Amino acid sequence: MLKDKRFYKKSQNFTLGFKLSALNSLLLALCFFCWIFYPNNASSGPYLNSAHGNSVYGVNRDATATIGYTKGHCGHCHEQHASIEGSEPVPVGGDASFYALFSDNFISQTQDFCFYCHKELGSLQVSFDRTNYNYSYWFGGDTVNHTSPSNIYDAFNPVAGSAHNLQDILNFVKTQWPGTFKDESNPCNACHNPHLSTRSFPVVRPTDRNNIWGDSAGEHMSDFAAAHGGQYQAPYWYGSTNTYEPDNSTITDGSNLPDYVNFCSDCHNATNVIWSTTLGRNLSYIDWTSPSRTHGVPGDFHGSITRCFDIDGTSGGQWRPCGCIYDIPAGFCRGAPLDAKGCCLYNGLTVPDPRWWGDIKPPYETANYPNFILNCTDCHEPHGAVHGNGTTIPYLLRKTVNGHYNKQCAGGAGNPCSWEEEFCRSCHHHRNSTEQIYIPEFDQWKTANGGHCGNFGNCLNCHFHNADNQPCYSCSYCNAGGRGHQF
Amino acid sequence: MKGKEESDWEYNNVNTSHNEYQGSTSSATNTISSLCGECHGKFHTLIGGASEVGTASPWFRHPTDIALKSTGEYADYTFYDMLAPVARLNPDSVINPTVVAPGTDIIICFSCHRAHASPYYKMMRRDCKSSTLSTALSGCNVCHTSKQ
Repeated sequence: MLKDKRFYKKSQNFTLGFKLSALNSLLLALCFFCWIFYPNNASSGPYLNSAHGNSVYGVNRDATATIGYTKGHCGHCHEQHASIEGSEPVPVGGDASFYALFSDNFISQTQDFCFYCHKELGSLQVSFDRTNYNYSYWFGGDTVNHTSPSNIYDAFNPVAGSAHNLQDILNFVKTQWPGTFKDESNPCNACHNPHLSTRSFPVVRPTDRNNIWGDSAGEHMSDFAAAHGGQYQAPYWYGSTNTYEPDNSTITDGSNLPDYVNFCSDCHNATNVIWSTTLGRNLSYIDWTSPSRTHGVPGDFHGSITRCFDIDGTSGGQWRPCGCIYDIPAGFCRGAPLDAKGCCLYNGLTVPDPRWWGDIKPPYETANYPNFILNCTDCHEPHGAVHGNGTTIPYLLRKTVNGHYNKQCAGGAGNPCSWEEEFCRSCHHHRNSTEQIYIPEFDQWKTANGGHCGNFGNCLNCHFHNADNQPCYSCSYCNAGGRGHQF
Repeated sequence: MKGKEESDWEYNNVNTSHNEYQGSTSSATNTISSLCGECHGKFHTLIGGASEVGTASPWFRHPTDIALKSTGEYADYTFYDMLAPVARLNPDSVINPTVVAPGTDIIICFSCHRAHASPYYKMMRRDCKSSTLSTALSGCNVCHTSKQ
């Protein structure tokens, strides 16, 4: 405090400086006095700063609270002798458990030690000061549509949805980091440290278990984006067009957001083989760092690959061609001859059908960065995605993205529309907006919707992480006729 | 039970004058913790054994008669704290009673409890039921230094 620059300016006066010096000495002496007489007073450290160790809203098991343990007490989770007062506090049953925990650390997706408290009905926690709603609620601002799940158990066990598979996580981390994770470890600890994680910064990297991730310089999305030649643009806060995730502020560059890309990439990267029991296959590789569009080289357009289309859906003002112009509606080609396929001919040649494949929505459209680098939690729920409106949400995708709550897409006969399309339309126009395109050969204006050239379907059938081998037209458009990353 | 009595034991409760207790990481039965284990067998590493206490970290119950680890958070416990006494492999050889040697000195029942009585719950050495969290955990934090 005494080194505060403002204070220094005022302390040029010698007399004042002397008084401050004397005060400083007095404070130091007082501290020393306190240390002499109260040497055993614990100072606030990592655990007491954690969410569990918070004296106001920390862990507080009903049975041990009744005994008299205060909030945040170790004894709420750890029973030093597997019993207290000669009997076992609730929950009762079973042998003594590893880490002197009051129950087994992990058994299955529904039987995890953390779920004894982090569940709705039957929670052992006396009460929650803050409900464990999902990411879309707390960091996306959608407090309207995400009152369920209201706890971690439900997030991991959606009736029809998708979630991180805890057994798969444990299998992976104990193979990947056998010195850190064992058979008796809790898979939640792959991402959290119960003695360290805080409300604001809940994650620790599996490769750095003793440090909170995201709370220090160099650990934010702005840092990741800058280091990889791109920019981060925060999505809209739900219900707002001038404030942004994750905190409803006006900050847009990710300097207030943990670098979840580096965090998640400890597991989900370009080399780790991760089995998904849910999908029955290995997960796609993810490389958010590669700028390469080259086929066979990992990469993602949502990551560090520079986009090849402008925000208006063109490339340098050029519309993307998709087949040829047909005489639809009749007379569109103003009497020009047609070929065998019904395509209009101009000077004996077919005319490319310029298509508008959609543009990017605000705030990305407004930002217009050449290389948007997204954050994993912009699209994914960390724990799980619960179904809604009759829709099963795959891949832990968020139902609210970029301030937009995605209901079941309104399609219809001959116009199927998946929830996934609705999801992607949170940021991309696709069949839900139109553009007037001039066809000079026939002196006509054509109304094009932001649609797909080719079959409509589930966007995610082709647009998935590290997809670089799809024989789609945009592929050749972006990569000079060759295959490569187009997404 | 082997040990070395300090003439000022509990007179002023400071780490310059305290009893030294025999500890062991083998099956020795002359340690202070093995005496406790005669009744509280499930709480003693060697008496309770693999099924009750375990044989290594992660333990089922808090172990006794094992060496304080010399790595991680435990390495920071080097200044003998009366809130968490440790036993010695050889009490007679102790030169400086204020020093703790992680990796060598032994965790005992007395590291947490007193034998006869204390003002606190379960004859603990500290008020583990204090409404002030830092006070309640102060004993644990002597060894578990990263959990402060």
